[in-house]
Amino acid sequence: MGFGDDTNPVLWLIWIIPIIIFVFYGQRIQLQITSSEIKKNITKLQQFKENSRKELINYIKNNLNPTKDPAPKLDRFIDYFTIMPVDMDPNGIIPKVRHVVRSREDNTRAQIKSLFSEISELERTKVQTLLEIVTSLQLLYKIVNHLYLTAKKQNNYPLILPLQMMMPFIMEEANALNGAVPALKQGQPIGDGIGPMVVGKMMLGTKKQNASFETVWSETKYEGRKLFLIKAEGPSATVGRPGEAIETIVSQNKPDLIIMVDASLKLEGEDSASISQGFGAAIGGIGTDRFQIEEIATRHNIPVFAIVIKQSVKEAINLMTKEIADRAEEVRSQIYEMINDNTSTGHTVLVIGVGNTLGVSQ
Amino acid sequence: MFSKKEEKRAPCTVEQCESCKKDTKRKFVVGDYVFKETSLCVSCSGQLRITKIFGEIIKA
Repeated sequence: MGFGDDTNPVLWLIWIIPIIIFVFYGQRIQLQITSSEIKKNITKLQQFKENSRKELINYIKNNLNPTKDPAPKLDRFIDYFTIMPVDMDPNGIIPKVRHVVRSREDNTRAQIKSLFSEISELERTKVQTLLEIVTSLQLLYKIVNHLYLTAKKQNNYPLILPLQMMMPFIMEEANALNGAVPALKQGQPIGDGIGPMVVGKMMLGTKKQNASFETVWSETKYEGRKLFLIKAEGPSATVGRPGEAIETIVSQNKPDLIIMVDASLKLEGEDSASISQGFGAAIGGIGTDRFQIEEIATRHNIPVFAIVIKQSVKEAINLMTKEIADRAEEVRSQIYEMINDNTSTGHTVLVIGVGNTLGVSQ
Repeated sequence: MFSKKEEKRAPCTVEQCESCKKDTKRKFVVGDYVFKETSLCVSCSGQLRITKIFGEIIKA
């Protein structure tokens, strides 16, 4: 008797029973296997969320002398939500988005200040950024948990598939956010700060003036060209308001060229800390600043060049790596080369260092 | 099988003398920030300024 002999009823049953089980219960078995993996990640997300909250509260209590227990107020913030404007008619949506986001930022700033009788701008921005990290981790945990519980409740395998596919990306972001906490608490530069670091050095020895909220500018000369330099005001944990700053500068002195320096997310396979040049406004965020810069450049017919320093999500929001820090000099020489190649003596160039300037002054 | 071992990084501060351009590396101290003027150079008494702060991989 061979294995292919289907006349034996016992062997026949051994073949047919698993087929019946998989036909009727296959999805449930797959759901169990997939959900156990997702459950492990949800537990990890919960730990990240709770640890970051605890670290924020301990940091405030141990270092900043709050006037009262900060936990209840912070817990309310962590759960705050933002309702984005209706986009059925997208015409004029940018000012609305800006208004909603600014209102949230202004309110958070005021509420953080109210926790202390006195707090420096550096510490206030650190607390505000830490609070954003806790809020993001809380949101990630809530969304993933909701999708997981819904799929389990409905016993719906296809519902868990998109979550399973997205899970590695979500965990990469969550790990990066969780890893950012120590650097933020100690005021160390993060990978995203490479743009401000490059421009900050060019600003040394110049007179710094306020360009817009938490943003500074200064003027310098380079081989017969006038350079206007803009960056967020360091060493606070802020990205400033580069859109408004450019508006202010351009309204007074129309530049012949705009150069933006920023960190950029690398593609898989690309080298970390590699430098790329391109065209267009190199700036992340929700898009309001990019819109404003593009609008100004188009209105005044100013070409916008970009230099980006590639990095992963983790590198962008964690303590700056040696590889990224070592690239600052090279980026600066590329800026000067770009100025020489695209402008002549007597021209004006606007150079903007985009990114979070934590731990980087000017 | 595919998981990479997590790299640990220790924060370092690099200071450069504005006169003799000599670089010195030390452990990061809270309060350090890039372009901060710190102490005087031991070789030429020039002004030291922080030029870099970064995480260096700790070798096991």
